[in-house]
Amino acid sequence: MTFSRRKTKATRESDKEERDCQTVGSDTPWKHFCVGVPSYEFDLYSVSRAMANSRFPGPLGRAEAPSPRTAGPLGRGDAADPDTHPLLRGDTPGALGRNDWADPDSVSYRMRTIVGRLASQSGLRVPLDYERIYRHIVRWEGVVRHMYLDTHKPPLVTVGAGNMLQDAVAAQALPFVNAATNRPATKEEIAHAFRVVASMPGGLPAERYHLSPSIELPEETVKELAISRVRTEFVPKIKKLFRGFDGFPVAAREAIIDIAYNAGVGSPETVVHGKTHAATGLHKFHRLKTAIEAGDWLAAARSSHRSSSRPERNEWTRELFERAAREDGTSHRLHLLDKHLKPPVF
Amino acid sequence: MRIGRRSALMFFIFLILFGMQGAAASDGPIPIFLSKELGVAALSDVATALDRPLDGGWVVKMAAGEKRRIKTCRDFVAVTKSQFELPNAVDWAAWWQQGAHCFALDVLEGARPALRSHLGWFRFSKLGITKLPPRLALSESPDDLDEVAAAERACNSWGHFDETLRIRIEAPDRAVLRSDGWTGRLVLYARADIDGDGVEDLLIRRDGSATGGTAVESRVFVVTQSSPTECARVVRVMGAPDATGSP
Repeated sequence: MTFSRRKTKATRESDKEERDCQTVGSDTPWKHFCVGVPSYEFDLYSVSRAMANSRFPGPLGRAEAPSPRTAGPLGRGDAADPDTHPLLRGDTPGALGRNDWADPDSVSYRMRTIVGRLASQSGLRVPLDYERIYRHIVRWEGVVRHMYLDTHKPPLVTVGAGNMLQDAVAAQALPFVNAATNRPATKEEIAHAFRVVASMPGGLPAERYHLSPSIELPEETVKELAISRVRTEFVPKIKKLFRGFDGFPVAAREAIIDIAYNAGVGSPETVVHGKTHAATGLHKFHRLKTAIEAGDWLAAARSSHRSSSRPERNEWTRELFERAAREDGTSHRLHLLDKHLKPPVF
Repeated sequence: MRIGRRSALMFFIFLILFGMQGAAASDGPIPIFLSKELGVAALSDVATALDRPLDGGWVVKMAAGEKRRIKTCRDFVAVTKSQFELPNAVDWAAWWQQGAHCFALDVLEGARPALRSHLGWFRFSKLGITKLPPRLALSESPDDLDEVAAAERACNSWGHFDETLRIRIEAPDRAVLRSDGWTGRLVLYARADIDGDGVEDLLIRRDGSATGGTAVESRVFVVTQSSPTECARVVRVMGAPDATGSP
């Protein structure tokens, strides 16, 4: 694979910054937090995809990484991950937020913004990339190809991206494979694996439920199950909540799906037999809802925080909304509005 | 005869009022309560419990890239003060769930018998739980947190704040919770002077999971009441990094 490595002025400066930081202390664990990682004018996305499956022991149980384009500190292939090659660093919409596709100084970002804004202004509806959404799920929720117990009390047998298995019959309906023979697992093998996992204590690392021989789902099935769940369970409910969802910038739609997947779509406030039932799930994010309905993505960014989520995930969701604002041009419009609406000073 | 009955009634009322006052503010060392779920019989066992092996054989990846094996609660508490990553994001909830126990043991290591208590009213019952501060509810959105803060300022109890809260007592120190949008579990881990001010505190664990979503959290709260006229309030929260007041 060949690609050009023409550096921008900002990139050259950040390279210098990186050299400075490494001189100061290359052994410090936080060196990546002070470096300006280099960005190049080529499509990091295609490069990272090409190299994604080669280096990292991913959660899917093979030498596979979901994507090097992950967000938070220490995400696989992340700029903060010392295992990540410098060329692959920075394509992250994550906490580092510099020189990545959300970085307004990078050419790739500008291109995406222009395309996004053109699409938004021309009324074009850009379809959701479910493969990308799956990678987000892998990044933030994790997937497991074999059966494991979740953290509920009592724990439930689960597989893939949180697909709960009611009983052994539900498990037998899935195309499990015997990893030792690399053949489809028999119904007895699946039922046996279900029983063994169900009898184990809950709350252990998922790897501890790995049996030998491993009865596991093919990676493609895990992905299909996750995507199908998002497509059929979450997106229709979100569309009911936000009528204009299909016309939102892609980044905003991805952020909304992430919040819904995490907090649940829920239901609006209702009064049953005189008793008020509070709004739940995404409906409970009143300010976020108002901001989304108004297309004010910057306000949505400020209201997207979830208290049970890890800080990196919250940061990532916030950045997605901020990117949506840039794509949509609302940040500029709001800035101008803000300027004009300032009260006169006497 | 009538005066005698009236005197007896007055004496009876006096006894009740005196008893209630005694419950509101006791003096002298107050017996410590420790939940069986903690796996310790006395405060002197806490240090040993912190060194007990953890279930699961956890391994985390530190910021510098090296892998660290987390064998005990002491290891757990120490590693949560640094930046680390779990091998699989799916383990995030289980990690903090197991860690809640460690946080509880960690704060109990410095606990001692309380000299006074204004929490004498608290019993681990449906009524007692509804009188706890609203911060114990699973609050996911910024709007939720604002509502909780407003309810706390108004000295509203959890039961007043969330009228849909349903409680099922499972054991003398354990309850199952259900409310609009989430389900959970509450454990009274301990009653003792946890923060060293001589006043009795409650150490409570609350696990919660969002209905229809993947959000799960396990937090440990230190609840106290400084005087009979003040309302009970949360003074410390321990849990995943985003938990307010977490270490």
